[in-house]
Amino acid sequence: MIAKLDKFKSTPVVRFFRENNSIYILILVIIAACISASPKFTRPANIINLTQSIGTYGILAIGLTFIFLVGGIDLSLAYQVALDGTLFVLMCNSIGFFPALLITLVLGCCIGYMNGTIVTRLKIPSLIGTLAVMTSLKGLVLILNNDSSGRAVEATLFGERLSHFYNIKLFGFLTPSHIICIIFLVALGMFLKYKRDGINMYVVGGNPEAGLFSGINNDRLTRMAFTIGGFCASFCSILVVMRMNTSTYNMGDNLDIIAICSVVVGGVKMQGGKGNMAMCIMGVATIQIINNVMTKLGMRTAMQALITGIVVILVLILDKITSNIKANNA
Amino acid sequence: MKRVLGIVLAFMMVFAFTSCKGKEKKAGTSGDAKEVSVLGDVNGDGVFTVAYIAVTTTLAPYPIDILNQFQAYADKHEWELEVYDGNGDVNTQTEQVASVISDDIVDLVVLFPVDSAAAVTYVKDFSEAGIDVITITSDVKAEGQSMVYCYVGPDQKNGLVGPGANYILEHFKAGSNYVILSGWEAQYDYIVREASVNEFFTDAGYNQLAVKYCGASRDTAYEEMSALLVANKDIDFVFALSDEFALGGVQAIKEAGYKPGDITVVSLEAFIDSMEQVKDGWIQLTVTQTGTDLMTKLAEVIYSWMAKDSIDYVQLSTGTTITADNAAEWETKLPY
Amino acid sequence: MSNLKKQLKGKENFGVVAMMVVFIAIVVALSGSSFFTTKNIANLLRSVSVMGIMSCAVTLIMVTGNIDLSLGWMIGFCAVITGQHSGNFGEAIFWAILAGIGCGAFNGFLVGILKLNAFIATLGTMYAFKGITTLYSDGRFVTKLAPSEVLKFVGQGEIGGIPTPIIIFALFAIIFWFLLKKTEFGTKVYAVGANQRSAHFSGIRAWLIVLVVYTLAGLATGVAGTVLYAKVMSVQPYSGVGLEFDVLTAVVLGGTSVTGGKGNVLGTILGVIFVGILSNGFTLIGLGSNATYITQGIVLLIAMWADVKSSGGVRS
Repeated sequence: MIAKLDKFKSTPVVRFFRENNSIYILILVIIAACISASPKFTRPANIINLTQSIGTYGILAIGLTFIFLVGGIDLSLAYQVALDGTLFVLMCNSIGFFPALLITLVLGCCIGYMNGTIVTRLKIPSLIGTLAVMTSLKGLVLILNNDSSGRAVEATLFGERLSHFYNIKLFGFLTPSHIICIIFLVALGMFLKYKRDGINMYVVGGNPEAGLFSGINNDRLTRMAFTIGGFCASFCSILVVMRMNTSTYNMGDNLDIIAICSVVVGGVKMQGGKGNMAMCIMGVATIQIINNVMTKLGMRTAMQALITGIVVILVLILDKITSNIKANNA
Repeated sequence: MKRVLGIVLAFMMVFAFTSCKGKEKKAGTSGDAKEVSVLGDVNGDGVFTVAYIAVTTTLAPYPIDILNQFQAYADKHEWELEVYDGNGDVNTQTEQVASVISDDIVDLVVLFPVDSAAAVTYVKDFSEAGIDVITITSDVKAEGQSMVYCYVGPDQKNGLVGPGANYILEHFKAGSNYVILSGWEAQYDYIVREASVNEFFTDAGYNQLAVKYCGASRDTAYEEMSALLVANKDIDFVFALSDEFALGGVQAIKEAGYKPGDITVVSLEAFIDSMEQVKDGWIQLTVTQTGTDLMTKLAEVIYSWMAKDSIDYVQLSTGTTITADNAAEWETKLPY
Repeated sequence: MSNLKKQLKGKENFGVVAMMVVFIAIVVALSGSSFFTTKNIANLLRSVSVMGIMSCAVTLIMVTGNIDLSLGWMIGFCAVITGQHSGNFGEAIFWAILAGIGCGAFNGFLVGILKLNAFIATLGTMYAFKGITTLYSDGRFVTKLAPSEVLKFVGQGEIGGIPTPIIIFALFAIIFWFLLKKTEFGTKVYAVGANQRSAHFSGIRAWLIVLVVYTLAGLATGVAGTVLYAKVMSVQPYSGVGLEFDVLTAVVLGGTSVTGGKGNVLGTILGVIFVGILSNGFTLIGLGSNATYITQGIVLLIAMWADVKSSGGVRS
């Protein structure tokens, strides 16, 4: 009997679930529950919408995963998105789409690098450093939006509105946000797995002193992680702008908190040193699927907030218990 | 242990979702009688379904009042009302719009946009999906107008700001000093109202001392006004862009030792609380903005949409000006 | 008193005090003498009193090396409950404090007993409290009941010319200062923050300390919610949103370290007052709140940088 059980335990599928975070079980369960709960959920149009949201918000979460990996936190992401988006639209209307795109991405990197510099050169803990940046960016965003609540993109791309390109479909289902998110996932996943800098990032977050002794430049990698975070934020803001064809002063609100919750639900450790792209996107998918099905069921936002909170806390508890069991077994 | 927890969680999820599912089914059953053609049923599922995509249904009294009125109408006429609560967040609303389109069960959309610029995109999406839209309270800007059946809402400039501004223009001569107490920075309603105030006062020669943004909090308005009264000894009148801020401002004015009428306060969006202050002469004038005002007009518009009449694009809901004369009467009539 | 002098003179709060002086000098130079009027000082202190009451308690949380992001919706919840019972002061304060203690203890349970990451756990409870508050209040602001006289006194009264909210703030500041500096409990709080493991070996039940500290913050939030309601006799459920970041700013400006083990209530009070001066000062100068946001961020950066410089640049 015990031998049988051991054999069962060592089958690849079971091993996969045992070794990885419980998130995979959770997400399967949730999807099953969603399909049984609402027939509207499985409509192709909804699946595309849902995966588009996962792609758009996923990019922000990818950036955040890097920041978490090196043991940092970025509170300013929400207002980074708002600032990047606002400036992108302003520039789009004056100098055209492609230059605006380029400048926005550079700007995103700059803000990210600035955050990294504050953390590494000024030695300010990232929580406080990015809180300060957040407050300042909030003021800037409000100044830029002083005369309007939202600013429409008047510029067109090849004679079409920007929102047209957000919904353009390759093979009937692949939209730009899917493609960009997949590119990010694959490229940055490879970076984390095969490049020296990527591998070293785990050391920076997990055990900075060991990194220091083995000759890793912790500060450089931290700055790099924050820069990737800023870059991802600017990409996310461009996708959000493309979807709405406008930028608004509050377009980043909640995005950062959702990203943090998603990444944590996926199993990335905030203390650093643990996480990968698969965890990140699975976490985003979980949160977005739950939100989507709650909207489909006609739940009010208050109820949705309550359930999201409970899910986050439950996942944390589950994670704690499983890691305790793992520790006991080892 | 892990698996047990997983299963427990799974059961909880399934239970939660299926209990909601029950509700959803029950709501759908009213559409069984297919022979009777239902007025306004465009997609032929036997029931007139209207989606109310609201900026919020919890965060501010006015949208809550609109929802209550809407729900009452829907119950009375057996409309199927699907409510989406945007929670004041553009991204949430964008997803809700996509969700409504992908569900494909809605005949008419009533849109209270979080942001009027983003609403243009929503309206375009709806028009591509063949769903008619009525926007309320914030108008979509020029580009999307041709695709909206109708805009219903208060006349922010002449209807809400106008009475107060005219009262001021009558009573104050050039050189008077004033402050504006506004709501959130960069929010549509308050931007329009602030711009309207400035437009009314362009030629009057008044000095604007400050514009203070108070969020939606009476407490902030109170603190801001207290600080302003210290900084400026010669404020002649206060223009509050909602009674919430007027009430905060009045409390600060009282505390600073002024008498009623020393500093004129005009406002809009009448609250029950402020009727007392209007009677006592602390607030000189305010204008009602209630869900009833709007819903009466909206219902008319929905009827003409059902009958496929063509009506004017802009349908303005009307408010009543409240001064010391009729404050007592309105005290019992206001919803919040 | 000598302790106070030492605090003010010492390295710990030097950066904040210096910046405060510079900022006040700029305000006075640009706006004349109105800053130093009694009325203005009273206004300034009253406007930060709600935040101050919470900041004192949050200092304890931060000293243990934890954080609470759920405070913004927690105070909304407590204030709404106060509003529902505003006819009777006893009931109002009882239920508000009970709700605050309940929420705080729940946070403490998650962080102290289950040992979850404080940042994420309180982010989760923030969502939960948001849901609970909006469901409970149905989103309406609560304002209609005839308020009791005592409640009115708590929010709008004066004792010897000093507004009651300031007195409550001062009381809380003294209590928490005493708790942290003069009692065994305070020593344990520092010990837990400095090094949880060695605290454990020296017989301190760290989980209990964390639980108590979060519950105290809940209690303070309950009182702050009551004051917030009583000040204008009206509250919206979300009026505390963003307050958690202001509180965090104030506490950190006061020299409390986010990694724990270091911090004091006196510094926090300085931080709270500084945040108040920024907003009040810009109003006196005639600049808007946007300038306040930008300056607040920059001030926080400079203060932290000065703090890190003076403490030898140890990165956490």
